[in-house]
Amino acid sequence: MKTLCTLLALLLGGATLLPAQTANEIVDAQDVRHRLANEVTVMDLRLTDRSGAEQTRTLRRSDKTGEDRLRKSLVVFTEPPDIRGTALLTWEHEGTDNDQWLYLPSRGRLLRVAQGRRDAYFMGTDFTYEDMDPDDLDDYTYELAGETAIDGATCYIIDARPVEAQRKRSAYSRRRLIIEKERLLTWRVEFYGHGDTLLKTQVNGRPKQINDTAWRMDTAHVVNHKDTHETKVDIVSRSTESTLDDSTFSERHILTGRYIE
Amino acid sequence: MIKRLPSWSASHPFSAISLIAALTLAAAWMVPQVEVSTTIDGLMVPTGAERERYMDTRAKFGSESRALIFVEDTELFSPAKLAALAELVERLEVEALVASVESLFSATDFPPASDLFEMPPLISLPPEHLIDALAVKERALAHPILPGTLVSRDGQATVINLRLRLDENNQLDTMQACDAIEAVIEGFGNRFDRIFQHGRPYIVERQVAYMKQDQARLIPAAAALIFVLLMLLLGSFKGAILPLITATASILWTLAFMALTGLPVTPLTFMVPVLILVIGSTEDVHLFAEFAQARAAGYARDQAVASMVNKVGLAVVFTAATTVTGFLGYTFSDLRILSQFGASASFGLLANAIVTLILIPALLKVLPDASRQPKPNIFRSKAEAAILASVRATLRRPWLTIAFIALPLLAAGGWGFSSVRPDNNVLGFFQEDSSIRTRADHLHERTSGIETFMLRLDATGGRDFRDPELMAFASQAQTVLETAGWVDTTIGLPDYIAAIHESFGGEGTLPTSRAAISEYLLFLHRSDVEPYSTSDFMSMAIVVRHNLRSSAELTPALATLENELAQITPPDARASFTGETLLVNSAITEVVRGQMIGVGIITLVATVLMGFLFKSLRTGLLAMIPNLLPLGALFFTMAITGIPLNTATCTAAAVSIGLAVDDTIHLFKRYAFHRGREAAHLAVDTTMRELIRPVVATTLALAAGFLLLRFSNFVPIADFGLLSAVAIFTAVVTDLFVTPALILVSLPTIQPPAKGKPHTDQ
Repeated sequence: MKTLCTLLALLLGGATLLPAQTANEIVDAQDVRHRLANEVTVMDLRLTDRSGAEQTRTLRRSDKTGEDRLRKSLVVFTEPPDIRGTALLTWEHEGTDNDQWLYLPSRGRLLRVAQGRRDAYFMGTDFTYEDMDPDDLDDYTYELAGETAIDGATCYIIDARPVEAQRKRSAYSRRRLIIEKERLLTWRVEFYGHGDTLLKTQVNGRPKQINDTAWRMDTAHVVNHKDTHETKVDIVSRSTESTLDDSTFSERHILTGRYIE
Repeated sequence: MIKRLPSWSASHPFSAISLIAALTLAAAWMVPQVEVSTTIDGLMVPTGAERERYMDTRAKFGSESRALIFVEDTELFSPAKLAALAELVERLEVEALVASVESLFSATDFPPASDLFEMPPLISLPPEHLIDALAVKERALAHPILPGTLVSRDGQATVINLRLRLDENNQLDTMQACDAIEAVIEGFGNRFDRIFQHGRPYIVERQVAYMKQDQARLIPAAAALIFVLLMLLLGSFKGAILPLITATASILWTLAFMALTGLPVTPLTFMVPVLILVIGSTEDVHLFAEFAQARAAGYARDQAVASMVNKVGLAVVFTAATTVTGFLGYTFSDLRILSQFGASASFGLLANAIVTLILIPALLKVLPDASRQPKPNIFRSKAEAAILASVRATLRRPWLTIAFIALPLLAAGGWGFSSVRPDNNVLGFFQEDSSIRTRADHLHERTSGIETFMLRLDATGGRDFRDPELMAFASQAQTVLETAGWVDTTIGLPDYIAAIHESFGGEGTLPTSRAAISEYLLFLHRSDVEPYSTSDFMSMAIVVRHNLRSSAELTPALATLENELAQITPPDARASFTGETLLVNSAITEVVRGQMIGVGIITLVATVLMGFLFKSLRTGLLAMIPNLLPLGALFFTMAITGIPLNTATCTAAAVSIGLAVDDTIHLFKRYAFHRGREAAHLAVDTTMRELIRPVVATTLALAAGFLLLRFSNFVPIADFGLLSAVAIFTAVVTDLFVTPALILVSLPTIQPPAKGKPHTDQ
């Protein structure tokens, strides 16, 4: 799964005990199970560098899934004051590249994020823009690599590899997902580079049930082995009940400054 | 007690030999435990504010020294070469000791402003088509930071920087890193026109290799040289082999001492075995010459040994004391490399004196002694006679002789001393044609110099460097550095902020609001800016790369820059230079101090010793004159050859005095001995006749041994060898001509040291 997006947007759902499944079926079932129509999450990010020095940031993320199962999301930094209002807007598309726009208050306009930036880090975190994109299941081949146990719970080991068309666009040769069988929760993700070197490890924690089927993980800890850096995510609050208006995900909403209220 | 050793040894030869053999075997067992150290730390003063600032900077920004790999190919930006480069980077990334890799593949591109927000990596995957590869080249060369740092300005060379996971003081780790890097790049040797590594691991690995090579060449060569020279000069196999036996034992003792005390083999201490061989042989020669003369005079072997002990035993103790003192002074240096050298060399020479005093009388008593007298050697006899004739001739006008030799030496020394250039730098240890130097030069020509230091900028008020005024100051500081004329490149956070600002189409070079700078910083991962800024932005480091190696040039250049920076530094900021090379550079004052202390201590000790020996301070002072005069030749040589004063050459003066004093002691002692029985002129004549051979033999052996160091891989060692040889050769001239002249004009009534026993030294 795609880390932050996955952490926030998908997963963690209750475990329907399914008969023997293929990896694709598992991932698809996970997607369906944990999908929420509307979700607003406030989270703290703690970034730790090689020397142990920390930087903290707070952001608010709004997600809306349409009837077409396509998502729109808006990430807005609220703390520290220097970067308050910096925002990233994402629209998922079927069959084509997703759109991303960046808003910097000091520039006062939206800039479309070029697709070439997918493997750059997102705002100093250890997530890349690629990680921030919702997963299009068609862009990956999933392979069941075995089973393991985490805290006594049996988990699938699934390797997700970009399809040939996506291979050059992805920073990863594969991602290894450790998904709990029962609730289809993703506990751990390992990211491998093109030389099959381990680039990052993400460990999720504090599962929280949202409704009958959907769950969320309230913490994530990404260790960036390549650059010796860590990002810790803590969910401060989550709202899934109010319906987000489509206009929330529009240029106008941002440029008029309402997005920060 | 030490002066009783030879007497005891002469009367208990087998016990003496067994004792030395047992101790030597025990020492040999410990030799493998000696550590090797090539850390740059030894060249720096270990304490002080400058050192603390450097350690603080290193803790905040990491060490500026890294391993780097240089890759050059005329078709570098082609699909095939970029694919090979990508493969190389991947191979390096998985090496256990490699923490991170900075290359074209990790560089962020900063394309020109457009409606798209686009700061992608310069290359994610190697392009498949030439047109794409050439597009990458175009972007790399137009990049605001890469040209001159990660890529050459013609696009035909690139550098891969490696940050390593290792304790820089851990020799083994550092060498393993070098080997691991070498193993990786070996596989790419035929895929690029040129590929090589440089940086700390390579320098350390080469340093160790050079030391091993020097030891493998110089120790056997010194032994062979001493043997051949002594064979020629003394005409005796025994006289030539004995110094090698005592030197072997004392070298093993010294290495065991180093193992026990944790003194490592360094680029200075590695020459201690050669010094023991060369310097240590002089005492053996004096002892053996005395023994041979006694045998030639018809003494039985036991009597000859006893005569030898009586005549020169005490003199050997005193000469050993002065030689040891010549090195001991450096033990108190603040520079670890000097103090380690002082400790190991002084121990080695003390050990050699003890071994010699015990072993030589014992061996002379038990070794076969078929020939009572060395075979006559026409050349040797003629040379000896010629020298003696010259000495006699000059003694007719002693004052003129003194003036004729002393005045030119004083004048040359005065001029030379004023022209000596202190210099302490790491690369200066290596020969110009060494791969370390040639690779460094190539890197300088194609990208940037390998020499680095940092400009540390600190915000001292309420503002941090996200403040546009302070960011502008940092950028201005970079401009000041880059326009100095000797700096290749500077890299700092302002470069990144300026590049992002340009990508966003911002006006001016840098943004003018704190908010904009903060937003731009969001586009930089901490790993990108870690070497340049603390996470709170209160401190910044500008990494400066250059090729100015000499401290003589760097020190004034930095002083000029400091003045210029002071004029633009805001009141709530501070600018200062720091870095390993600067600490090494600053240690030059310690080198100069080391020289003064070394010369001061040996002069004082030698004067006091000789004053004590002859019961007259005046005699002690006068005896030092012929030993200080050779410094004139030493400084003159330094001046005309451009040899700088550094950690090795700063010891040459004191070592030379320590060695020159040896002959003076022998001459004065022998004169005092004969003066008890003869008139002054006759006593001088007898003394010279008896001592010319050992004095000339030891001098030639010493000078030749030191000249052998010219073949060292290390420039300061080679220079030390030349200077010592010049000084020692000059010392024999002053000892043979000035010393007897001085005795005649100043000390004709010198008294023997032991009252009532004019016939003996003891």
